[in-house]
Amino acid sequence: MVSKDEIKHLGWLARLDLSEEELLKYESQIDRIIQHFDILDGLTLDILEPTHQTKSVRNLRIDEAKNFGENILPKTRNRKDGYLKGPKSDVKQ
Amino acid sequence: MSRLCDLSLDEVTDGIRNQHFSAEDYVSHILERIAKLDADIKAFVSVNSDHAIESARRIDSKIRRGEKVGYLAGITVGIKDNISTKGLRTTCASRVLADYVPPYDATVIRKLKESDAIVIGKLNLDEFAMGSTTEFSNFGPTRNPWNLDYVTGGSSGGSAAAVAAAECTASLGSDTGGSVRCPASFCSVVGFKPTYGSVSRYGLIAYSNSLEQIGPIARTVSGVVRVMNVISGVDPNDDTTRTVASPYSVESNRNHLRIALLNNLTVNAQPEVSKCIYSAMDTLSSAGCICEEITLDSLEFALASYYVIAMAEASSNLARYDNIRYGFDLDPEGYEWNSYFSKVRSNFGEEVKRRIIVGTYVLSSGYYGRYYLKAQKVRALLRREFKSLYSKYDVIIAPTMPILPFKIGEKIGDPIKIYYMDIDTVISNLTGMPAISIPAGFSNGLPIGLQIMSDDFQEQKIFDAALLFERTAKIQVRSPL
Amino acid sequence: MISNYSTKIGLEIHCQLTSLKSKLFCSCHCNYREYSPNENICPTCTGLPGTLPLLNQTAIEKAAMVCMALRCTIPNNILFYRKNYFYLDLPKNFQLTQYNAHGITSIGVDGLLGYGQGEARIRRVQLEEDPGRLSYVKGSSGSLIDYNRAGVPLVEIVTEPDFHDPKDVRLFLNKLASIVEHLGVCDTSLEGAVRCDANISIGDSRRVEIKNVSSFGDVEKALKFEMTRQKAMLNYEMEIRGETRHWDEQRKITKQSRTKEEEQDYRYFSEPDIPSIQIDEDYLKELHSKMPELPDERKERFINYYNLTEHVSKVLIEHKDLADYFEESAKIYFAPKEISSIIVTDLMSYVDDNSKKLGSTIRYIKMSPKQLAEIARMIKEGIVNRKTAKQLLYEAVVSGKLITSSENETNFRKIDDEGLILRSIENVFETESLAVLDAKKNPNVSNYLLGKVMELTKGRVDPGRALSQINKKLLEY
Repeated sequence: MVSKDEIKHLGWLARLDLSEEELLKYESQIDRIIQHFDILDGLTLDILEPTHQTKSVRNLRIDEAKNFGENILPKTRNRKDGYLKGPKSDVKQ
Repeated sequence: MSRLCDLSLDEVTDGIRNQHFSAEDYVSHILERIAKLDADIKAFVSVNSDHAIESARRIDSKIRRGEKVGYLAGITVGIKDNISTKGLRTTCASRVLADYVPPYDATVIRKLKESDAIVIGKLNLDEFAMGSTTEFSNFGPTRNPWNLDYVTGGSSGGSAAAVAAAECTASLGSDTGGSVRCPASFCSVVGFKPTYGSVSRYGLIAYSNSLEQIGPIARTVSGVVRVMNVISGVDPNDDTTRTVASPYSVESNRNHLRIALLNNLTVNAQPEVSKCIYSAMDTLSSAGCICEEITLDSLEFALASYYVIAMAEASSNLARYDNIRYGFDLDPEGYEWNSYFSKVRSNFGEEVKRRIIVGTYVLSSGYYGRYYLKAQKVRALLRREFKSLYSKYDVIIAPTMPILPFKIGEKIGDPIKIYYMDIDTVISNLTGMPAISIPAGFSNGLPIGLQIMSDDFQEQKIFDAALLFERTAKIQVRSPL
Repeated sequence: MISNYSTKIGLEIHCQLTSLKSKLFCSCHCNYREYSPNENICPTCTGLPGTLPLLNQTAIEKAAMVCMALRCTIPNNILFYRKNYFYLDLPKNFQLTQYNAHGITSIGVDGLLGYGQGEARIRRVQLEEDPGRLSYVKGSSGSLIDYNRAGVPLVEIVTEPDFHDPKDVRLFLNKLASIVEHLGVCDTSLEGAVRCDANISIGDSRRVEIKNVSSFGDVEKALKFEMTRQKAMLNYEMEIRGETRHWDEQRKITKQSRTKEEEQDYRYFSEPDIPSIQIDEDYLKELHSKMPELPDERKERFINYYNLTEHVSKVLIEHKDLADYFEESAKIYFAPKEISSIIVTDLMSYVDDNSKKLGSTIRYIKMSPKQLAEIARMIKEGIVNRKTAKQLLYEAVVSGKLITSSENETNFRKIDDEGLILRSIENVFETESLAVLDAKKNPNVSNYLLGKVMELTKGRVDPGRALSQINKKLLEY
């Protein structure tokens, strides 16, 4: 069972404000989704390892610097002296 | 004489190159059509009119001067609105990206432009490509051109509907768990999911990186093949791309393909769908193919495995939308950072939030081995089993969708029912192997798609089978509108 | 009894790969320090939608060199993982790093580094990206964000809790700093280029993490403070909480952090946009052959070739700058003892006294190695007495100018005459016949002979040429 408190905690981990109404709705839906996922839990696939695409270190990007050359944050309204304005951090000022 | 909008991709490029009509005539005609039809269909979220006319004129003047023009000169391509277009708003049909204008072009867009294709506009989708009906869009649902009360499928619903309604020559969608093939099936057009690593994802706004590929949609198989010839190949901007065997041919030279029908998928399908797929198998047999039925038990784990991986990756991919670098107007001054993030991120739609929560759950400590790791192992298992099947068969066929298109709003209250729609398509995303959906017929005026799958980088086998079927079955490709 | 508590200290060191040209996953400049806020950014390092990480080949190379120097095992395949957490300085709200909980896939594991009298096991070395930087304005409650640093490559070096005394931690960190300097991977004198977190537990008490120590020098102070604090608590039978504390640089104390680490759940999973990177044996072999001289080897060479004491050699190799300065100077005028003693006594105290102004490196002093060589010559040849030399030295250090007498310049010229070199070698072979016999068995002893030749010629022959002549002559014996 995925409880309402758990959904709330997941909402915190994902930084989503969830209303009471949303919590109620998600509680039952998400529980059903997880129940469906539980068919994986019964599987024994010990011999199998996840497969990854591979690439040789020799074929990676060559270390060369270049400027992107365009203003990539043109529409950002919250700017000050080139900095982006953000909310309060938790480090004491 | 047929309408310009109904011409296939090949007919358009030939017509423009041979000056039967100008690119400007063609583009103007398409723009008029969009203006006339799209208020009902709602496939487009942005139309790139000025730029399109300008590009068309440039192509025409090149042709008049006798200069060489690109491989796709003059065709109009609609782009799913999760593919970055420089200077053109790219929203993912989400409130959090409502005003986002990318400062760069996705690799596929750059390649299309280099081949003189014209980007005609941006197309509707389920928010961040999460959905199978295009109802989860901040712009509202796109309507199925075959019956405006019905869903288009999704998430690339705009891409399929625009092509089906002849509002563009071809389009690009993205396919994470069937998002190109599903709407292609529901809208009776051809939609292709390439082998993972064939087409660059640079510029595709990620939903689930390890599963998705950009894929083309057109009204004919050769249209899809030609777009693939332009967009596929190794990209230095995407370390997961690999060398492909292109250019692909549009001349089917194989009639004796060894074909297996995956009957787990017909058993679970609606009877009308199942009947149609068996008749498609008969058509292929009559054309000279050797067809058999097979069953694969491990498929029962595919759907859960797909959703675990997709939601896990999505929960992480969508973390970046915190409204600091782009987004809507909300002064951060005065907010504590956690509450600012939580507040702005609440602007995600219902389905996106649901997937972020589930994705967060399956990755959280203690559950990794139970869900995510198992799901990855199922992928390895499926790859092994399909590899062995492709030593015996050239292609495998199945329904694209287990059900017929349904009415808008009919299933929106039951997300899990919608997830079950993807059961036939997620397989190829898990294995990374290519798959196509092509029109296979109608039931009560509602389209049914045939899915053809093959091994890694064996796109040509799929195209050969699809061309053969298209030629033999003669399903209507003309727009219903 | 306080002294009965056993202390265990482990370290996590972050070291920027400052010698790279570009960032870890994009082509923005690695040297972010030269740019105005948000001028060194691109779609990738700001996490714009649709961007993909493109791993820097040289970052792997440099990190692998660090691993070799720390005697780590380097796996054949490495992976990158996403560490998922939200913060204002993190453009993607996850950090790309490495992780070993689902199989060994970080660039290095299981190493060992000796320092002073001890040694510490290295648990792992991993590559990861640096976040951006936050600052604040007075009178505003918000933060200011600069992404110029976001994506700069870091190697994280994690030790086992093998330290018992903060003093050993300092020796270890000095050694490590010298290694990364000698490898040419990190300029440790740059602000923020090296950072250190430490964990400390006393007796059976819970582990306390100390974060935010932005200079190696402060780590020892932070640990000493923390030990005193914890021991005092234990004496009063107060329980020590497992917690994270921050080092307050100004007040020189550790403070409880406001963020609660236990609420974090990083939800690691392997980054799908970066393939598994294959590092083959041949690649590692090539790299091994390219490894520069490491501090330990250099120290041995200083002892054997320049005849320096163990102590002086150790001091010199602790900073690559210092050792380089010494060698450059000694190459110009072969008086290693004189030159090293001037560096170790006079120059180092000058650098220490002025480190606030200039940064703690010899690089910023104005006197050139050539000028130091000249001063050494004047002392050796009795042209100036030590008191005058010292005056000249300080003059040169501050102004970059050396007031020299023009007399006797001929003595300072290089000997280019092959016959003269051979005659000097013959002289030495006669007076050092026992050493010559040794040298036939032990090649290191030829360095000793070279030293004698240099002494005889007052450093005016080319040491390379002289050494090859010595070796040739040894064969004839």
